[in-house]
Amino acid sequence: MLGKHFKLLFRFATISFRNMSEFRIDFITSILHNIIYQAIFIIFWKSILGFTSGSLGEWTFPELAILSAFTLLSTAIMQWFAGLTALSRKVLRGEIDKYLCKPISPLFALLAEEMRALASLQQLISAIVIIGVITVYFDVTVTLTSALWSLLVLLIGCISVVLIQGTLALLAFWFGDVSRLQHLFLITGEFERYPLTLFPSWVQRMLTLIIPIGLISTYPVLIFVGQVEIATTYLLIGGALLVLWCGIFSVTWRRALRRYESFGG
Amino acid sequence: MPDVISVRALEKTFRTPVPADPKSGPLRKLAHFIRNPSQPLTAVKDLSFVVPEGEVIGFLGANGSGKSTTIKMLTGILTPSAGQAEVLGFVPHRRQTEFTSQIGLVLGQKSLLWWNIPVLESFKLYRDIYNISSEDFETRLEVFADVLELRSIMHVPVRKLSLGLRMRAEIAASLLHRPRIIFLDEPTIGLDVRARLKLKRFLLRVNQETGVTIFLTTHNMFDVEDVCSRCVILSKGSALFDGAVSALKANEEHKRLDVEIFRTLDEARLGNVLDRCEVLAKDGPVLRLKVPSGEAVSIIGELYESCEMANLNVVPPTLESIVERLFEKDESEGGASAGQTLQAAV
Repeated sequence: MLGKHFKLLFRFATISFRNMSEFRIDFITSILHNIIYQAIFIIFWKSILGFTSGSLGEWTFPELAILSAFTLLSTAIMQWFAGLTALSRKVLRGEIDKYLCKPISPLFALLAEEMRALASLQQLISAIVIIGVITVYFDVTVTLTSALWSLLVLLIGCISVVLIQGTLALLAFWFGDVSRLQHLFLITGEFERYPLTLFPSWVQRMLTLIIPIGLISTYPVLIFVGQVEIATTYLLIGGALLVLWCGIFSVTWRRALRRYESFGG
Repeated sequence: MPDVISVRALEKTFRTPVPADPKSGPLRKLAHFIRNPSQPLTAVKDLSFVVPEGEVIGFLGANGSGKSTTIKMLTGILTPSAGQAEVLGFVPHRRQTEFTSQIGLVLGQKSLLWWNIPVLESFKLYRDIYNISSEDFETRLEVFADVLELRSIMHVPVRKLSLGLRMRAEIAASLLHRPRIIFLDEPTIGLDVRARLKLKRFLLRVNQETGVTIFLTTHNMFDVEDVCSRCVILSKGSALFDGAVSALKANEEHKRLDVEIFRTLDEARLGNVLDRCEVLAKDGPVLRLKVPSGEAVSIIGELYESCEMANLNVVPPTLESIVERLFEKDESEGGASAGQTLQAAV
């Protein structure tokens, strides 16, 4: 069974590559978009730091540049779960049918079909290049342990966030169009671009314990650069949130499928 | 043959929003908007039937009669609101792998293929989903490519195919894993006459060669007449008729007689013959009569004795006219009750 799913994942990934490379103009503009977008943020931080004594709170330029790269990393991870955000659109169009009548987990099929493997790879490469250049050029000390802990917290944080997004998307089974609600949640994602420790403590708590935006950017960066040596607290918070949202999503998903109305046709 | 589909008192109810009263004031409208009240809409009601293995059964009905809802409940896409459905011994909405790997589904109005990728890639995806061996896959693909004329479109993305070509590709994909039952929801919709004929011939061939049970929904009478041995007519979610297509035709209460006589029609000579039938048209020596089925033979005999006939045609009723009358009767007698009577009559 696992072998079958890996085989399918590989085939869907191939399809995802073909889909994206078929639209060549879009493919090239996507790469340009990635580079320009990150460059704007790095230039922005450089300009801001020009007005200060070279740091922003505890954050120096290399750390802020790494923060920008980490937002790319988190997006690269979330690209594999794009199916969850596409869920509400598919419910409204009655497009879940094809997953439900086949000998395959509908959730797996949905995620596999919608994953953006190529976009994820582009972002992953861009992030690795930026992090590599910054750490070497500015002589940032990174240990293997801190890198691994950082990636683990980032991964747990990303999955928790997509599960929240997925649960919101599932509301489409009850309420129809929930795109505004999803958009409202995405707005909170804007915080990932900025160091969370610069915000008031209640904002920090909210964006760590309720919506774990801190776990997909600020804290992984702090662990990565060695400012936070013990990642256990963040792992525990992330783990608890992951279990909680896994449970909520799983129950909602099962109930949602019973309510599915298969619009159209 | 054992039953592969067994349905008892199946029901599906959806919720639909209640429109606000246009005459109500702004506050009431706001309250209505917040409460968003809904009302039940029954799409399928008290539906019971069984389908033996290998049968070609057609579900016929107007738009909104519950055909697609029935097919979606039988394939596990929708969960019934009440009643029981068993397909191949499984409860469809539990969607067990053993169940979904034995059925095939084609939805005429929705593509189940992957929109942006070439047809062949979609087929390969099906191969992996259904664990089809490479050898079987190649053999079946060859057959389908020939019979359904798919060879030229194998490398074309699905979104670029015409409706007819897409439908052929969908049917091939749904048969690749050799399902025991194939569900086809309006597969001929939007197809031209030639494409429709080809598709029907192919379905019959597959049924004869592999013994696959075919469950077809359509609102085209000819599809049922050409392909199905049995049909169920749905109206407002309930079965109006369930039986052999031939029995449906035998159920017709009237026949049409086209009579051509040598001399000018002498109505006095025909005596009471004309009183027993309805004259549909009178054009010189040609007379078109609508006669009760049970009296057709005696009326023909009387006509033979009363006038010199040059020609006589007994025009069989079309399935379309029969079904139309069933619907009319159902409307006038108030729905399901009429259905019960008609079902019992056949």
